[in-house]
Amino acid sequence: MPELQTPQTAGKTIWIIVAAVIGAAVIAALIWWQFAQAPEAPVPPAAAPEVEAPAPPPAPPAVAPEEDTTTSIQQDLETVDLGDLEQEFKQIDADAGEL
Amino acid sequence: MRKYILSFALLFVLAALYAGAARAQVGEQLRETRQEFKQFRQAEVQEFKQRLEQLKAANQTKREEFKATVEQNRSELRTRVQTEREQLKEKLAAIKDERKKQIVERVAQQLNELNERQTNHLVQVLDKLDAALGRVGTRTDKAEANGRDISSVRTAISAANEAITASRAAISVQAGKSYTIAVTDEAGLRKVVGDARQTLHNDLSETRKAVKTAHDAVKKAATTLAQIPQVDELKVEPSATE
Repeated sequence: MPELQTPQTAGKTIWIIVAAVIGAAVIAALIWWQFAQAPEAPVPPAAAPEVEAPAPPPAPPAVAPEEDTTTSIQQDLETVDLGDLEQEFKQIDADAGEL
Repeated sequence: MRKYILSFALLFVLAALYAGAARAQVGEQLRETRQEFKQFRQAEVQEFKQRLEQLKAANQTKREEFKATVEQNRSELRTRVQTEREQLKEKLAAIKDERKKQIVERVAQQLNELNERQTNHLVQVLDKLDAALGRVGTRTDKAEANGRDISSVRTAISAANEAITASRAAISVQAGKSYTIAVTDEAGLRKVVGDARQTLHNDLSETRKAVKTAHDAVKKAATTLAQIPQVDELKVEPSATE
């Protein structure tokens, strides 16, 4: 025959449930904290500064030493001059005019 | 009550052990990922440098071949011009006006000199365009190594390369041309000199047009490249071994 719960045993059960809930919360917080700390701890010091995350890092100086920014390329292209062909023919035209 | 406390303590210990193991595993995975990423970047940089060297070597070879062709055409041209000068002198012997004879000879020489001067200048312009396009290519490679979409730039570079090749061919042909004055009689001197002048003018205009097309094509490639966001800030790391 099952025991009837007295008010004392019912109070104990409530406390046990409350303790279990608090314990579960502490465990969850502990697990969360461990995961959050994980990226920093095990990485060797030499490797750490090079790559912070698997994404393109801020890069040191470029491989090609020459200036190859689009601004400088476009500036150079603006300086390209084919010259004035008509001006080049002036002397020839002057001589031919004397014939 | 003690039974519950013991169960709770056991659960706590197990959870702590699991968290520690998971942390170690995540750390290991992260290290591996970083190592793989580093190796991938180094391979990309190496590939980029090789491609750059190959491109430079190929461009240098093309430039040298082109200059050699132009020089060979000029060498043949000098012999031909000398022969034509002798022939012109023979034809001018029939002209009595010494002043006119001298003018015709002078103009004939000026036409060939102008052609040489202009083709030399266009060769220099083409060298500049070629160098600029090389720099567009380098910057494009950097953008590609940084994961940017460079397909439209590659198309523009390809078109510019074709235009430069066409210009080289046009200059090479033009550099091998000589201009003679077909003297018949004294009355027709002005006309034949004008005809020779016009022929050179037309030829040079066409050659310059080809170079202008190449210039526009290179400019278009540079403009297309400049449309990639922050393209000037993209770089390729030197590998750790160098």
